Amino acid sequence: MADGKGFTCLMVILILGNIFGAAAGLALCALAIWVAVDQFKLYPISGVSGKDDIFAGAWIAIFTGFAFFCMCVFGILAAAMKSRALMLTYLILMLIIYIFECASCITAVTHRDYLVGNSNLVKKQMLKYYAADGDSGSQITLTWNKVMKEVECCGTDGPVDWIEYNSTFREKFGTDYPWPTHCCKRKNNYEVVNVEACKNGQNTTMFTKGCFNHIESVFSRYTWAISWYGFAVLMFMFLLLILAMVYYLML
Amino acid sequence: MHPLWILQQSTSVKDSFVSTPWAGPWLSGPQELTWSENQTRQHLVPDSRMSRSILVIPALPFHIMLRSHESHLFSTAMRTMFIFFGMLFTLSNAEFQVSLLKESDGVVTGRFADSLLLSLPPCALATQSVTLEYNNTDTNESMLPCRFRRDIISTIENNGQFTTSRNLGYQVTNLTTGSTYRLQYVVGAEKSNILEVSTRQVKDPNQIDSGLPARSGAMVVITVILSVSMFILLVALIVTVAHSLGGD
Repeated sequence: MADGKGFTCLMVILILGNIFGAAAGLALCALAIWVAVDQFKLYPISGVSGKDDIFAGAWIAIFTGFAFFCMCVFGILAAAMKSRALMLTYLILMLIIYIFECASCITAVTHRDYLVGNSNLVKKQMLKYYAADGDSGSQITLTWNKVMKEVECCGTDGPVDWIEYNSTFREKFGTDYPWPTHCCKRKNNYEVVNVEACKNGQNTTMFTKGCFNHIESVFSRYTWAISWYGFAVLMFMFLLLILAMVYYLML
Repeated sequence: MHPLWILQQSTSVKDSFVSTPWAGPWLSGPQELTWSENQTRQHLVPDSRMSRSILVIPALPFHIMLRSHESHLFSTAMRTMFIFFGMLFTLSNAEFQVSLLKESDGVVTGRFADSLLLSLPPCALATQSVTLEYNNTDTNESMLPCRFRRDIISTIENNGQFTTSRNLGYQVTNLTTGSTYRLQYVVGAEKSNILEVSTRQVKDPNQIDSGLPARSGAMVVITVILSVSMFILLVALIVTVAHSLGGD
């Protein structure tokens, strides 16, 4: 087709767009690595429930992010060399990566809704698996102990969860301790400040806020990183691919 | 003349605690409690908190005069004095309040599955022995437990210089889950109100519905827009390839 000014302009736009796309893809890869590393160590809550696609989406995004980077570099090459075959290869491969990245975004945000849409799933899991035997039980117990200690909270919506419902913890340890001792404030040497006061539920000696806010904010943070940033990258790639198809038609 | 008495005599010679005028008829004007000591006039303005002390312990009247600046009160004083004495006897047998401890009292909750946290009788009855009567309204068994000091919930605050110990309430233990109880303190001749409260019914966690609560807006937006864009790209690629093949 015409080798005019519009054609050159389109080529330049494509090359610049691909440079930006390469950077965006690499950033997506890095962000997805951050999510997969799970610095807040909350994976067991999603893993035991079976709704762990926030992390599956993160793994997919690591690969698609890096693949976007590689394909965009290839796309610079293909556009500069004005080769039809290379552009076609570029288009088909980019579409495949695009579809995988879409899957990652959609599944991450859907599973986030399952997990932390409201506090029921987390609460049920806590009551069922805290202090239970088995692999799931030990994972959940360790995770909750860590959260209660670091975030200074007790229960899902509050300590009342432990006395409102029956639980594995209550069946194992009886009703002497209404809630785990991790709900109690501790001194710097990890000794409980006042066990009896904690058992009675005195505000000053135990944590009274619920842990769900923290859990929900962590999972939401992971999800927004994968799904919304992935969405932004995909919208940019959409425009880039439309321009690349027009360029291909002009070649 | 308005009857007036000293409620409590402290060891200090200077301090005396005096009852305040009964709220109704005397609150209309400014009151002034005066007493003469070395020809100096002392003033006292009663506030609403002091009215509680009337309810608890009547003491012998002393000769301290209450003079009011409102002269018309003198004419009604005799009339109201009889009412006042009449109310006095009912007030001395008045009920004090017992209630469950709440969050504002410094505990997470007053209702457990097998115990209840009750407020203590007022401080004025401190040295007397108290019995707690409660019965289970379902089974109608009555209990008069011995009072053990360890069932008192107290907080101890230690800031390095001194330790303060404060009693928050009393824990009634060994109750059955999910049943209603009627509780009442009895202190000598005085009784508290009857508190009707039930212990918590422990629910089954399997009843919690942990299905998908609702689809959030983010999920709908992302899914719809991405699906549409995927579709458009696929169609556009097919059209491009077809066009270029057809064009060749």
